[in-house]
Amino acid sequence: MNNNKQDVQAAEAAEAAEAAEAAEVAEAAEVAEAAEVAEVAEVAEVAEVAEAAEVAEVAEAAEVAEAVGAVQALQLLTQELVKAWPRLAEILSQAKVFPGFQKFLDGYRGHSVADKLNSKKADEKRNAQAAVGEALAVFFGDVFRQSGFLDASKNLSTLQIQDALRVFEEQINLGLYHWFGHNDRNFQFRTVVHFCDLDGVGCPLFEANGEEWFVSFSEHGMRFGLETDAHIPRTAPAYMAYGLEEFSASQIQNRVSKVRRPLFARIRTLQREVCLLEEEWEHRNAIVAVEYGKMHEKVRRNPDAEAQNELAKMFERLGVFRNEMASWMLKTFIALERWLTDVIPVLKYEPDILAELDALDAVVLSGLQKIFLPSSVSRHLYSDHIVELFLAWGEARLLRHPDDLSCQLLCDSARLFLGITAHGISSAEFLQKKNFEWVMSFDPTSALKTFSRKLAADEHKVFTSLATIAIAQKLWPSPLNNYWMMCLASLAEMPQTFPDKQMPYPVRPLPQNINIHMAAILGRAHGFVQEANVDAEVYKEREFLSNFFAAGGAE
Amino acid sequence: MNSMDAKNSLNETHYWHPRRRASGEIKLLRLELVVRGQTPCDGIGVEWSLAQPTENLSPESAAAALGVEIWCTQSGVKNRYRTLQLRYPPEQFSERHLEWRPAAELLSSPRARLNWYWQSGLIPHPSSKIPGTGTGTGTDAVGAAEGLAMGVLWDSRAVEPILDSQTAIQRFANISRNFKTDV
Repeated sequence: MNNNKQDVQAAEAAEAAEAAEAAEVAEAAEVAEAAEVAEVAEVAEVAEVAEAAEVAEVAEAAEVAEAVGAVQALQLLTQELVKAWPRLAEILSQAKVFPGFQKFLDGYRGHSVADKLNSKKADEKRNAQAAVGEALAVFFGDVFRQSGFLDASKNLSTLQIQDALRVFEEQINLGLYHWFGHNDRNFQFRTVVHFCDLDGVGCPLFEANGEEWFVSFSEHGMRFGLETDAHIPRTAPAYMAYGLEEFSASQIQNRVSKVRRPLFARIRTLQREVCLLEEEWEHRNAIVAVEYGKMHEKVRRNPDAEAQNELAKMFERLGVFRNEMASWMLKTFIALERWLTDVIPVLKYEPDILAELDALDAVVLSGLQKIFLPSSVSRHLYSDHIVELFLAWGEARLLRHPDDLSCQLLCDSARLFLGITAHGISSAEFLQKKNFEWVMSFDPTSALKTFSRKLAADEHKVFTSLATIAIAQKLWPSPLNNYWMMCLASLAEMPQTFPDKQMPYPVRPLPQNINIHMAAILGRAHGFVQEANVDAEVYKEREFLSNFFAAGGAE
Repeated sequence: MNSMDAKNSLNETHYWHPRRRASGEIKLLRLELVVRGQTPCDGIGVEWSLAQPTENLSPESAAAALGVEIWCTQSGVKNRYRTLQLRYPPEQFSERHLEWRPAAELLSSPRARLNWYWQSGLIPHPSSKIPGTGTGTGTDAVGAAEGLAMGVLWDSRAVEPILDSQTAIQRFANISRNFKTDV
């Protein structure tokens, strides 16, 4: 086929060349020759390019065929899960029939409680665990089989299976995050896990490529992978469940009156979902912080090497967990900021919807500030990846609020944290503006504390001074502030300004001679000295004083 | 309701109000729980917390959470009022003794708006019989007032049911269908 195509192209090119030649017969011979040479060169080039393109296409087609296999397999899984989800919800809801579950549910506050179990309760718990574990294993076996993933996985490499399972896991955990059973928001997936003690329990799923693939349960969701993988479940970013693409700018543009009420409803849902996200963050952080606190206390009471090792390992686990949670929330906040930037220009004439979007903006902002807490108040250090997400959020917000100084400070310190020095510190421009020309929409110190971990001492001092000046300008606002700053600065510099005109240190009266001085001052005040000449006055005063002393003083 | 029975424990006696609706209906219309204007405790109650699960709320637990007695005798009301007046002297807690609620709290911009605790359950169920709401009204309405009964604060189309797991999974599947090769 290659040869044919080349032949055809060569033939066409040759025909074109001949036609050109025929058309140019009337012209000079050199022109015709030059044209012919050029055509031949072109034909050769075209042939080469065509060949290279063919080769590349064939190679791409081979790669794409492989990759399409994995993506198709993943999509089979995804669609099958959507169809089978009610069955999973049913399995989890069935936990209600276990003895003691209703009482557990009534008193459940989101964390596992160590129960003193008699043998009967321990048996019941074990039965419950076995029942739920079995049901879930059977469910997943069905899903993998009926979707055709098991067959497709024979052609996939380990890495591709891992990626497919990762996306599947993210989807499941997203669903589990939103699931609650029997119309009771307290009956979540983690309720079942804590009741049946499924935390850390795993089941084998299937075998492919000579490796055994497992699912393991934890209070935060399910984890799919090899036996040796870390047991931290991953969740898809929550914005994927919000359906933001139904309300993109292009969808709203010319249909505002039709879309107004559904958009209003969707914005209310988004506000509520962001509040629920914040509560989830606080809940998860509180639990891990309490665990860490207990271990810390134990080590403090009994500091030996192994306990400290354990503490260090727990701190690492805690760090990884916090990074995961932070990146999960940040991706949603970034998506919401971008959606707001996208949608607000289209809704210029809808004041009530703009008010709701404003409220959503505020709620996203308050959520973001919660993510700073582990690193500004506690000793956690966020990784570069998280800081990049912070920077992306800040830049997305600056598109809508370009005068937001706290956001500018956040972006500047984040860039310096990541080592991007090209922008410099652009937030310092506010010093030249009046204090009403910029806005401080959130506390910049939490962001600066977070990013100060990797800044040099000088850079940190600069940011500290900028934050201090900003807060002072907002706290004691006056249009004369810059003026006063200049006065104070020039006052401080006064002695060095005119060094040659500086007077020698003047005579100060000794305490016992203070009344003489007062007499001199009074004498002058009473018109004792009448010349306007200052030097004469001084001379007269000194003369008076020396006479006064010569006459024996005030005695 | 067993706790509504007159023969109860020694410490707490609840009186069964003859005109009370069944609890199943109360879950749809939380206004029934705290009847406004009938107890002075309305204005001095505790603010609602979003952290409490509300779908399994019963009138007793609502009363316990709010610290408000409902369905009790007039003397009980007076005792309660006296306790609260002692606890919140009007000079220091003037805002708790206001009778009126500023319109700004309820109707103003969403950022400054404050929802009071009895408004926690006001999102109407799709199958509710509240006049002016429901699937038939307001869907093809051209004007704002069409399909909305007088005195009703909300419109069925301006409210979405809570985001459930099936919808979440479906939307994720739709997005991932548009994924290009990333594997």
